Amino acid sequence: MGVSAYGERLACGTAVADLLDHVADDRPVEAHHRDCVDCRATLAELVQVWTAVHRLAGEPVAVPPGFTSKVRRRIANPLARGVARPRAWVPLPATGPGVTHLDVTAIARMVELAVASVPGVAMGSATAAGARVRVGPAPDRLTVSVEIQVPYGDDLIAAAHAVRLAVIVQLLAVAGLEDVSVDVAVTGIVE
Amino acid sequence: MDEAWLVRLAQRGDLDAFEALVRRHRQQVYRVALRVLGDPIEAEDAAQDAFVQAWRALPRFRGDAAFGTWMYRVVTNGCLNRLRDRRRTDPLPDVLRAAGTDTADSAIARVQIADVKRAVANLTPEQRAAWVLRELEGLTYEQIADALDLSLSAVKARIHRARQEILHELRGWA
Repeated sequence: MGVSAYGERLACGTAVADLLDHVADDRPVEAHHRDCVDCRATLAELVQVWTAVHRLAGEPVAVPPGFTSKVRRRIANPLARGVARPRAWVPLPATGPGVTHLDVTAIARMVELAVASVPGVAMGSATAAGARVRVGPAPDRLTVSVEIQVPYGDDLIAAAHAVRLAVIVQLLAVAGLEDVSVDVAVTGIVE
Repeated sequence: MDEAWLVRLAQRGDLDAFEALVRRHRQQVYRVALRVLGDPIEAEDAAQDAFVQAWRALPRFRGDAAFGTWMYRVVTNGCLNRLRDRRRTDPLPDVLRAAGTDTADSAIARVQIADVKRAVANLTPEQRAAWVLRELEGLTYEQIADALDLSLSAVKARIHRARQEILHELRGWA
């Protein structure tokens, strides 16, 4: 039996999914499973496949630098609350007394123009009204989420990189925004 | 310092005590967010959100469960809300591009792990949360039922189904 038969029962009537529960939960198998040739073979396959899950579970995950201080800042500074949620404006770097704010709609428009400057790439249909722009996760960090369509056959990662670069360069050149993160989602392939 | 004592101090508004709790549990909270959401930036945001929400809700925390168990509940529910809000997109496996220096075994392992992540990304948000807590975090079914506010049988059914879906995605290895 191949593991593709996950939804099926073996000739002995045992459901493959039930055997998987034994493997995943590391539960002792029943007497029949030990005696049945089909069950034994299937269990061996499942153990092998599930090794990847154990590997993933053991994969180290590093907490981003400055995590704790960011949490503390968000708690201590009421103005910093909800920084990851949509805001109507973004403060620009100070050039003197007073504060300059840029509306996110204007940023979205700049992002659209930046995307349009990348050959072959078009804005995703779902965002015809504009790129989604949000502030976060840090209070002073701008995160732009943009959805694009890429011609069939093009290197998707290269296209995403070009879009990311174009947006970062545009926002730095026009608005002086230095800490910009750009999430790119390829939502369509065009012929 | 005893965790229950830190919680009591934090409940009285001691931010230093709460920071100590954050340091103790940030790894667990960020890891769950990353594994449920699959996106490091959103995971950091969600993990921070979870601690900010926990701080605000601390006065109502009665200590029936351990602080860490409670944080599982807070972060998982926050992630579920995010998953329900967003359109489903699959991150491109940029990491696979850097596999040139791997040995054959480690390259295979990385591909297999990437396949598991992809399979997890295809689960429903509810299946994904339950599966991550069980398979990757090692929580008991009872703890997951408590974290997700579900019956034990509902948790078992979700995980059972999630395992089938993942196995289906991983077919062909054996």
